[in-house]
Amino acid sequence: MSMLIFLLWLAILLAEGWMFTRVLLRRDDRWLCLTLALPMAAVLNAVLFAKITLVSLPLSPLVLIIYHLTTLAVTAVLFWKVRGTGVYVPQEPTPFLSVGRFRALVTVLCSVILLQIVAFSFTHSVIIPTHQIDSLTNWTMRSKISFIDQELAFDKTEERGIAKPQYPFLFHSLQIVVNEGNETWNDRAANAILFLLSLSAFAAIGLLLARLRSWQHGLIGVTLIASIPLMAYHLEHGYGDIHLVEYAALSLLLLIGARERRSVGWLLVSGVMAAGAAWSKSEGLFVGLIFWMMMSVVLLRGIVPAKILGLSLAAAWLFWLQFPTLMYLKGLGLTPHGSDTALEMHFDMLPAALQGIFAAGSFGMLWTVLFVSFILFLIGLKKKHPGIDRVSFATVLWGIAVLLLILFTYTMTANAEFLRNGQSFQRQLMIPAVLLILSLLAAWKPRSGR
Amino acid sequence: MRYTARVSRIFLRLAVPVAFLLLPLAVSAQEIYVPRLALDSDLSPVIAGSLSSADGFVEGKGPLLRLTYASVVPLHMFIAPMINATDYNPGDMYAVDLPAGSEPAEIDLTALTKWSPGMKRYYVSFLSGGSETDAEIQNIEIHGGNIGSTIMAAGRHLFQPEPYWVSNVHFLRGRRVLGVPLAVVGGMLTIVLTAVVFVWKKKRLAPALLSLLLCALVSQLLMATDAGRLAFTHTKEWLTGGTFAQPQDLYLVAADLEEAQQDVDVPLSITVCFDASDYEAKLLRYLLAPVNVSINQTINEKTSHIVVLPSAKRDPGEETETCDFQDRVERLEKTYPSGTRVYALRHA
Repeated sequence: MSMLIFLLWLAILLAEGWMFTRVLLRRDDRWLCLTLALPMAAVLNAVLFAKITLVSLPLSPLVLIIYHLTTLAVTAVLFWKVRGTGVYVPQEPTPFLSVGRFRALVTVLCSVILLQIVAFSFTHSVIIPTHQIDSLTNWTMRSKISFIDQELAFDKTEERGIAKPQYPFLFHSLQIVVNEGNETWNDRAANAILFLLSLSAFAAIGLLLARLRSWQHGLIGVTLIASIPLMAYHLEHGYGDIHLVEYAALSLLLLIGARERRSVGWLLVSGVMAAGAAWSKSEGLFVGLIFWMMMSVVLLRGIVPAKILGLSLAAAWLFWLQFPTLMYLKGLGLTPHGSDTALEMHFDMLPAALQGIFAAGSFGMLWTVLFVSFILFLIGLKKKHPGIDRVSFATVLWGIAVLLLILFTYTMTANAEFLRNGQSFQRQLMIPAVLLILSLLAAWKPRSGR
Repeated sequence: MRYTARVSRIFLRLAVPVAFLLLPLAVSAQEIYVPRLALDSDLSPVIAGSLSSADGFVEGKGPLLRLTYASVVPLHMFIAPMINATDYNPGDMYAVDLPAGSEPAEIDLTALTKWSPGMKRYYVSFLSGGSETDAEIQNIEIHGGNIGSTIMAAGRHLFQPEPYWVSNVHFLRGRRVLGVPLAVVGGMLTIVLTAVVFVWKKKRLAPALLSLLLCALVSQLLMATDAGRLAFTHTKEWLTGGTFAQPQDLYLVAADLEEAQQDVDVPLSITVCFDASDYEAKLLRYLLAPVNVSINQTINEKTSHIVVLPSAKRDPGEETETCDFQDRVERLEKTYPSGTRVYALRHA
């Protein structure tokens, strides 16, 4: 019965997300819309949860099914009204590698790596029950308590083990919705939907890179991201960090696509994904939504009319504003850590920060590779290398800005404590690492093996 | 045929140096104990059950620690490399189980990822389950070592899996080769290789980027192999025994308590007793919600059950127990293979 309920909710969410994405993209590229369906539906679901909480309705199966079916009906009407080609017009592919033997080697390496990561992710999120420490306190535990209470839990004390009322609730709302209809909490359904969300997001990242550049770019991009050592462990699910990274990555690639296709639809979807980052974790507001807005202005000013650009940016914020409204009405701030903005100098933590970036196991030698790649790209730009796309390369500013913000936060505020005890510094570094990987990959458009 | 012949030739060429490297181990006839990472298994029962202990430091150069001891009970030895004169990292602590007896023992220090061929200082501790032990450490020294054992140790460190703890998804410490982080060694090699390729290929970008990509993929293949191995071992543990890794049999404990709740109308109220990390207690609290599970180790008039984790000291009623049971234990419901015990309490 639980399985049937899960499949029913999954079908509703996929239909809702698929149609909504196709409306925004004017029926462009149905496969891309399919991979983006669940990430899109998760944002819509979080917005619905906020609205339900704002009007003090219970999180009951009846209320949720009515809300979702209404959304589905409205989306369906829009879907039938929108005209479009429905057919994806491919750009000329620009393969990453032109040398045949290395192409085969890279494909084999990527496949072996991905196969093991997918096996790890599937077994640890779908077969094995919840086990990660923060899932048992702030994340899945809050979902379970909210499901039992039939309302989002905003506990301010540790009495029930959850004292993070400021956490955004995309994660929680997705876990709760697939449990609605069950008499008791189904742990496997709660984790399985997060696994599917990540699977969809990674498929969309690969497909976007394939559409914008080549299938090789897609395969390499997904492999490099999924096999960042710390990232792979987060693909067990149970923490919000992984979804923040996924949404930020999707919004970056869609933004590059919006610029290259001069498409407002792609910009809008990119904006919803940036809002998704803010719905995933508090820091997503800065490293996702705000930086996305700035990057959109940098990339699309002069390409898209200013008025349309402004409206598109405002539309993205409309997908998130329910959260601060709700927090304000509950008398809560936007961050669980009041010390986030207080300036305190901790320059003594710089060596520890550099050690975390270049010497620890969380990233292996990825940051060294990114650093050397960046230097090579700069040399290439200076020599006016034809294989470097300057506009895509400009998006490294997003990743660099996030990296600098994180370094600032952990060396110049009281958050230095979380670098000292190793709690969150390296987790947050996953965001700039992924953004930089994607920016550099998108910037590499060789016409030959130069 | 030509392909088979080529493979055979390669195999023969590799076999000779590999055999040469393995020779030092083959001629070492004495039993060598290989330390295991202490945090990889639940050692809290060992620590909770220890009644006597001794510790100290040993300093020297070499891959083997020779220990001459005599004891009528088995000894638990812990060893960690010092990071300065006074400190060691608990994450670097390794454990060795020594049998009762009076034979000299050899301990393979190269199993420690921070082992390097130079002079090293180690913290050493011995625990015994007997309150009065005749254990005597007669001699302890570090010795041995040649270029072969150093190369073997480097190879072993390279393929030693990254430790995995469910409570440690904040950061990974990373592999070390002869005490140096692999990320640093690999990173330096990558920079050198890329620079060579860049210059050799007349400053063309594509070959340099390709060499970078291959270095990154090979490095991340190591990590992915850890993940693949964990996928297999944890799934096998879970599907065969309903348990895995650090949570051990807590899922079975939770299932039994859920069943107990279905048999009674009054809501259960459970207290968890432990003397180590509160991870297990929090896991039980999640699994049993909305049942009230207290992790602050106190019982009140509503407490119906006590779950005593293996790390908790002694049985109820003894002087050094972790929780105060207030003489309310009605019966021992069940003892689980990990040592976890569930007690039912009388009403206050």
